Amino acid sequence: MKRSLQLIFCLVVVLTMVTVCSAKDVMKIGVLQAFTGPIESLTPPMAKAADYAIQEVMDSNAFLDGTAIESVRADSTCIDAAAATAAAERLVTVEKVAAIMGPSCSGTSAAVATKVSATNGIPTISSSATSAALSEVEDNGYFYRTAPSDARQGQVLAKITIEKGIKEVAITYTNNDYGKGLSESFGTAFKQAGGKILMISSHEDGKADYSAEVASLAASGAEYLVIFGFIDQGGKGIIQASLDSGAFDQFIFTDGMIGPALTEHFGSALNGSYGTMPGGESEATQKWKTIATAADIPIDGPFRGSSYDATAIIIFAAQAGKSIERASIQAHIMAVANAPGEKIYAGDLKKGLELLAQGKDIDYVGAENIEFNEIGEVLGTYQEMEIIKGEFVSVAFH
Amino acid sequence: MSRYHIRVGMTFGTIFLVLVIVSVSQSLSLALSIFNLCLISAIMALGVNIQWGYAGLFNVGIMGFTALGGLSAVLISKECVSEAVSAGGAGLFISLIILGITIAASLYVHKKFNRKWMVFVLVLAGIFITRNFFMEATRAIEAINPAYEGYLGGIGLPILFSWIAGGLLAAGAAWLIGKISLGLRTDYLAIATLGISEIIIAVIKNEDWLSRGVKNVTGLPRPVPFELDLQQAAWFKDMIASLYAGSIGHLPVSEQAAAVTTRINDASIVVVKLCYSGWFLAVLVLILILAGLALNSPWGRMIRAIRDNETAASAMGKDVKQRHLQIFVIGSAIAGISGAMLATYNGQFTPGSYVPLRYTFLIWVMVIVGGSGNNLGSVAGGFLIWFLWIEAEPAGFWLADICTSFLDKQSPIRLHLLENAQYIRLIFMGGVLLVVMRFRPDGILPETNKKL
Repeated sequence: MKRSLQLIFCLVVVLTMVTVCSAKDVMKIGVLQAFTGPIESLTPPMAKAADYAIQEVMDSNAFLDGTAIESVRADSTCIDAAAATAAAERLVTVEKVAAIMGPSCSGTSAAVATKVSATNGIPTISSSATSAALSEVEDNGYFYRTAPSDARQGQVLAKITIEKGIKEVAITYTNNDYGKGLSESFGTAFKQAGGKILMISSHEDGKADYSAEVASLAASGAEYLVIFGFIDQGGKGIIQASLDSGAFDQFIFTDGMIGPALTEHFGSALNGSYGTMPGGESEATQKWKTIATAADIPIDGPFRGSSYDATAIIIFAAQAGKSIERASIQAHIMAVANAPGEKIYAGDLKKGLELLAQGKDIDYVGAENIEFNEIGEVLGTYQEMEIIKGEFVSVAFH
Repeated sequence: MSRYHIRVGMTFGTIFLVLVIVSVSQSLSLALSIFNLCLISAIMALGVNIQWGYAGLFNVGIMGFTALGGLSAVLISKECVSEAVSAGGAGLFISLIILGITIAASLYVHKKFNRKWMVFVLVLAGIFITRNFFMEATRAIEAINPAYEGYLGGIGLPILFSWIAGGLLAAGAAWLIGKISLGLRTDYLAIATLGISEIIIAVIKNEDWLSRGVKNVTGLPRPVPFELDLQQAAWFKDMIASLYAGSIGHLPVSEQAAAVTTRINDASIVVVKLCYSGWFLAVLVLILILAGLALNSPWGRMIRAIRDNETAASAMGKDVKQRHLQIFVIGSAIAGISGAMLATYNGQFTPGSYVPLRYTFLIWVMVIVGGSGNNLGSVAGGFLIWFLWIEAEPAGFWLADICTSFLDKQSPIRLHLLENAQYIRLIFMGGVLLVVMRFRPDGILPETNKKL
């Protein structure tokens, strides 16, 4: 009995040592995105951009004396907060990730930020959660986002719409906090600028047929339909029903609707429709576009650059603190993302790693001109995308 | 020890063993979070079992009652938004009074004069007047700080009270619904309850003044300590340090501090989850005992007699409609309690997450697979099905990995299977249901004492 107890004790000690020791060789980053759900066609390129950042760092051989970095994917589903929290907890407790890149949608981000990030002290950077309410979420400082808040996107879209001379619109939004938040911020700004909203109506994702919603929207007499929805579910259905019944042929979008899945399906039937998504035009974005095209990451959709940025910031924070511990990464995120320091753009990750190894300060600008404010948010610039000849083309920046 | 007792022992023993395997191979924290949700699902399944197993009522609308339970968690535990109450509270109250007057007046007129057009005109007038006050009041409430509030708030009591309040709210709604629809039978009752649950969810989703609708209410207060508070409490740190003193002492000094911190962090997560488990287990055991006592009483025998032969029971003078209403209310109250517990555990109320697949279909599978008519069966079904639901995603991924491991890393079949591994969950659930229905149609733990 005593012998077997001793054996068990030794086994426990060895296992403990093994777990503690082996944790040092690989840094795991959790890529928690909505791989199933209403934006499932938008997330694979985002995850690809994150993996590309990791690959670039690995190729440079400059990260923390050769520590490897691994991305671990998990599904946040976008609509089920409980499933997203369970997936995040699995990443934190089973995979023992150092930080999380994600989640994709605003509702699940609020859940993960309060239940997993704040309680486990794990830095979480979302590249696509845009709801205004996330600015007030109780995250103990562990939740950041590289995508700007919708409070601004609604205002920008309203300004663009008024400048195009469109004074009357109908709005439909997907019935969750993303759609509702956008509809409120757009509605207030549009009315203040003198526009008229003839009809607002929500729609549920996952329905087979949207002709009822389209009929009531068309009855308002508006010529333009603003769709705050998701490309893989309700948004597509609304457009299909509108085109089929001839109710609308001019649409106005935001980031949840902008992607190749839309143009591939509808083609030139959507010519002239436009929308906004986060994105900039500066030198930084040009560099990202070159890199992304070379790496075969499709750029005709939102949040690819911000996913690259979120991953890069995590890696730089680890390099700056010379440790892959969560607390160390958390302590250095603001420093590496904000001025002062040497500006680092997309594709310059090796340079940034070397500077940090020498003890110098960097200011990560990345693909989306990242500069965090005191609560870990970015101001952001927006790209105006228009459908010309059946493809999304970037026409201006705001 | 009869065969039945052995079966019960084996079922729960297997579940326990499986959870232990998960805690060792994945993590204790994950096993505990699965366990907590299993407990909540078991209570939901119990609510359905009481309606279906005891009384044969086919209620497909449990989702609505669960949502009402979650709503009560918000209404009880959140702080009152005083500006919203002063802006629109009076208007809401007036509209409620007018609605009440309209209903009372229409009932009275219908009884006294029995003229349809008079009732119609009265109802129409009532609706217009109510709507006038209602819209104004709700618009005012929703305009107060819409990004973070925009609703009335709650009454700021400890969240544990909401478990009781959720049961009461669900019971009240069930009484109303039962009065209207319990005259219907099986399929028709199913359709009616399905529709009503969708109505309840739609109302909650769209009435922002009540609980922010789809903008969700996050940050519900907890009945257990925060992990970060535990991690910073001196007594906790000392306790963990002394517990692991042996294994820490064998490490080189430079790594000891980091190892202690990891231990403390992991332990805080586990302790918080255990606190939740304690609360949920207490509620489950209480409900099980009460339900068991009720089942084995004369009342329980009467209920089952009504289920087995309604005509005979009614001929013996039993008021079938009243009994059905009673059972409907009790079962829905239990579903409401579980809804409040779920919202407490999640720390937020997200009406958008109440989808039929997760709440209606899954709970019914739990009852059917576990054994309808048997309380322990529903609990076992709850544990089993929830566990499979959660573990199907990583298991599916692992399975896809193993099955295609002999293929080239970039082969399209392998990539496609790995990218879509999460959908295996649905195939798996259907498969389980088919297998159980084929080999054990009565469920894993079938109903005992079927013959009275």
